[in-house]
Amino acid sequence: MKRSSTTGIRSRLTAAGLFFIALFIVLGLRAFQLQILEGAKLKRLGERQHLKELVIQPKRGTILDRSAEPLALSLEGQSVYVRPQRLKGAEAAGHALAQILGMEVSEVSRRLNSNKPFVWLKRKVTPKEAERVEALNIDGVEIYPEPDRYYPQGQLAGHVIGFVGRDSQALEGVELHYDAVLRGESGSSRVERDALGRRVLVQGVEELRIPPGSDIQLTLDTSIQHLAEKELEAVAVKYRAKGGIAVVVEPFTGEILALANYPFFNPNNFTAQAAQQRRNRAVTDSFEPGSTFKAVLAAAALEEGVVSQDDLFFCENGKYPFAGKVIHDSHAYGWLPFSKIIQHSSNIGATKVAEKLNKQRYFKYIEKFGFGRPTGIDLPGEPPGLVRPVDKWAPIDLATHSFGQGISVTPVQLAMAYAAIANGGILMRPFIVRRAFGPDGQVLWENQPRVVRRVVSEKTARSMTNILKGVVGGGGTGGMAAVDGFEVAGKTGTAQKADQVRGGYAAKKRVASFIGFAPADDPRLVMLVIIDEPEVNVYGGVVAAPAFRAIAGGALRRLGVAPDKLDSQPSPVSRESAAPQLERKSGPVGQKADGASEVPDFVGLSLREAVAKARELKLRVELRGTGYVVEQSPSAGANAAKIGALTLNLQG
Amino acid sequence: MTKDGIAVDGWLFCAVAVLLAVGITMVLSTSYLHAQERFADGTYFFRKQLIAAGVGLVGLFVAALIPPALYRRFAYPLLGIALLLLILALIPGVGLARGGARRWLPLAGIAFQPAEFAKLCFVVYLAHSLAKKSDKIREFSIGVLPHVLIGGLVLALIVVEPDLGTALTLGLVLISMLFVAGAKWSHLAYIGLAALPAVAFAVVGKEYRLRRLLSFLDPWQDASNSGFQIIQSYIAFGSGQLWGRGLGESRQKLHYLPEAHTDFIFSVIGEEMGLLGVLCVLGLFAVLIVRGLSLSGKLGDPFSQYLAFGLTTLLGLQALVHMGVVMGLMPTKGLVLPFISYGGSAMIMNLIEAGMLISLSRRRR
Repeated sequence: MKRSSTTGIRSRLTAAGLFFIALFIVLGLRAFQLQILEGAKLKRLGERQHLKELVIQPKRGTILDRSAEPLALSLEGQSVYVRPQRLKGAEAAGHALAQILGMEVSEVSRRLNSNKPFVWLKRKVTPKEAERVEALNIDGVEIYPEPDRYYPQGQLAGHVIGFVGRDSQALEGVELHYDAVLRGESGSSRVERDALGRRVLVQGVEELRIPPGSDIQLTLDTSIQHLAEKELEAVAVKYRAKGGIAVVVEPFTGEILALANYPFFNPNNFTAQAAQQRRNRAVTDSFEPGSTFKAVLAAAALEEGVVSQDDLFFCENGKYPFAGKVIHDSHAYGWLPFSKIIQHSSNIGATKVAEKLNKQRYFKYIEKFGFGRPTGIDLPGEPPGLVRPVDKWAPIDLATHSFGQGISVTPVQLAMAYAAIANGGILMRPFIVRRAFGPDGQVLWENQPRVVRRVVSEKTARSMTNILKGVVGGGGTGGMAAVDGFEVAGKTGTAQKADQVRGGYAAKKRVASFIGFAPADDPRLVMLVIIDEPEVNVYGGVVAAPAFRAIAGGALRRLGVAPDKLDSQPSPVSRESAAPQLERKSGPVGQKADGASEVPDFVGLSLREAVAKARELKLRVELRGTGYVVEQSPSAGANAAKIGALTLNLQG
Repeated sequence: MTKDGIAVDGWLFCAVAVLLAVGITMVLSTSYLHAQERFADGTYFFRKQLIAAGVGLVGLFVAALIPPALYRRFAYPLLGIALLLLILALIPGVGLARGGARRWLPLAGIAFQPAEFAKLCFVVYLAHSLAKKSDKIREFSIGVLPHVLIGGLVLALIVVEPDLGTALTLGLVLISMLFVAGAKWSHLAYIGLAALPAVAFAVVGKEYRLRRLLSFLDPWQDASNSGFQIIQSYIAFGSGQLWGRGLGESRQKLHYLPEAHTDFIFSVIGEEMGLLGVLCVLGLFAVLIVRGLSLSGKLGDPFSQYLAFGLTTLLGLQALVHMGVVMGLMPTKGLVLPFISYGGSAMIMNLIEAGMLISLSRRRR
């Protein structure tokens, strides 16, 4: 019995043993299946969850003004977020957090008790707040480093600079237009993450270093910008105007020196301001230019040779029936020479000039001066303006267009048209960004002055300048624009505003403007001042011209232009106030007596001087860089007739 | 191997020693980040486990020296104490509740799991009782029913904790021991049939258990919820492939696997040490079981035989269930891997059980 039970248990133990062995074999085979047969597939599946493409945004580049004054900076900001599921004791934490962050307790507890895995508690906290939250050491409440954009000059040029949103997305202005440059290459790395989405530091995984975005230097001059904004505000307040715009351009290069809009916009708290207020209207809005547009007509008429400066026109004593309507002048004039038509701004005279010119030719010049299509300025939202094609013109349009009605242009377009008159007849492309720097300060690229086309001859441009000088200095409508010590050429405008609601023109709404350049014969700046819906007085010559005078006076001083030196010798002080003064080696500019056979020495000239000189000598130049000419090819003395183009290297 | 001139089962001892070494290493690997986050001390669990292993080794040597007959004498008091402790653990205010379960008793400043103690006591009781009734084993009311009733009581106390994994193992141990003791096949079948409604009730009664069962059948059906854990375990094994990622290199332990240092530690072994590591651990447990079973066959008296078999089965089944679960061959979860998973009570009791096997091995014929 005992023996049989022993053999019985032996066989049962053997059976149990075999059963266990079988189970081990099954487990071993299962392991083989999972690890070898399906191993690669499962491993890939794992990598999909471990390795997350982590996009790292580089530090956004700085925006500087032309003398390296910072206008937009990126700071290391911090934000507080919550992982509600990891949070214990939300009640107690809520009170402490609400106190530190200055938030409502109810709001904090709502976020702490959210059923989402990730909730922002407060974005962009102060360093002190972050420190105190950190000190609480609550599991589930964490600090996230977020870049914060800061505009040290506040509202200054706010419309131009634009702004970035809370997630560093560019939304307006230079920030938007040059976003790719400023933002830089966002780096991405495959990082290991744990199941809660946190990064895991695994040995061998190097912290990814990505270069910051590029810095951008504007052509904008902070001092001139500041002056323009100050004057705009003063005028707007004085005349209870709805707003104002000022555009200051370097006429030879197209560099924007100032671009101001009133009311101002402070990009530091963009959320507090209406979208309307964020718009850079100097670029994005078009308006009826009014009488300032007569310069376009006049230049066209002179260029086409249909009039000369002294041709007399009968101005019908203030009333002129034309195409079924009656054209009025604000003052009744009899016979006026062509130049006085512009200087006194006679609509009837302008109509008669336009009749002589005819609409096809007038239209050709409207287009040549750049109206009806974007200037190509490097800022977002530029419209083409509204210029109807000539075959759509009604008979009355020839008259209205002659004094700038029924057509709409942007402030920048108008400024560039005047710049063409100022610089001797060449339409330039305007630009606001001068160059971009890499992280080590090396120049990555530069915007070069770019010629759009020649619009009128130098002779026409000079004649126009003389006529426009008379507007300011010769008893014309722009007398109040005169700047002490400088000769100013310009034109006033007082346009009716289109009634957006009823159509036609609003009874009382006016746009007062003045556009001009100084010094008239060696212009260093072209400036347009527009005052929108002034109430006390509506005339451009009264409202806008004094603002021009104040801004231009300050700007010319800032640019170092010596007063009363109105000859062709450029002032020794350069546009680059920060750069050292260089001794100029070049001889006198004019080489015409020698038949312009020799290439002169350009070394030491500023960009602007070089452009002016090359144009005078009818040399094609290729510019590399900005600042001062340090090298030229071919060198001075070569036969100018034999070279295709002159290459100038500039630095500064 | 000889120890004090007495023959000890060297294979068995070595298998346990190597498993213990692997286990302590894996506890450090799997718990480091978790401990770092929770206690700002990466070695928190590791140090506790080292202490438990130290205490357990002392227990192992003491147990190895105690003659097995002594256990037999205290079989009933031990079972009584075990039942009492199980009941105490369920009483609010006395037992400790963690994560919705009442499995612990505060004992000298540490949380002790009475179920671990009860497992051993139950096996000792069964070995004693089956040996005593070995002649009547084929009579249902004498040889089977009392053990089933006592077993059912122990199981019930563990099920309500709830600790289904432990209860399941214990049920299998009961059936195995009845089988080896010579119970009739038909009786074993009755037990199985009788257990079915209870199992069905336990599964359907709690929704999460049903979900778990369904996800076992097809984890990919609901990969982000109920199937999540087992899929994460698959990924761990798959990522290990043949050679493994290397010690400490597991990704799945970074919160993808829940309880990587306890219930899913074998998955991390699979990931860090590959198929080779998995087969080694399987082999070590196989050695343990084969040596335990052969020891059982070599022992002279039924009590020693049943005790050796019961202890072997207890350790072996826990290992098999743990490994089967993490490889998706079985539903349920919540079972530690003997000698390897983190957990003081289990570690100490498992080492004592191993010590008892060694003690038995000294009495081989």
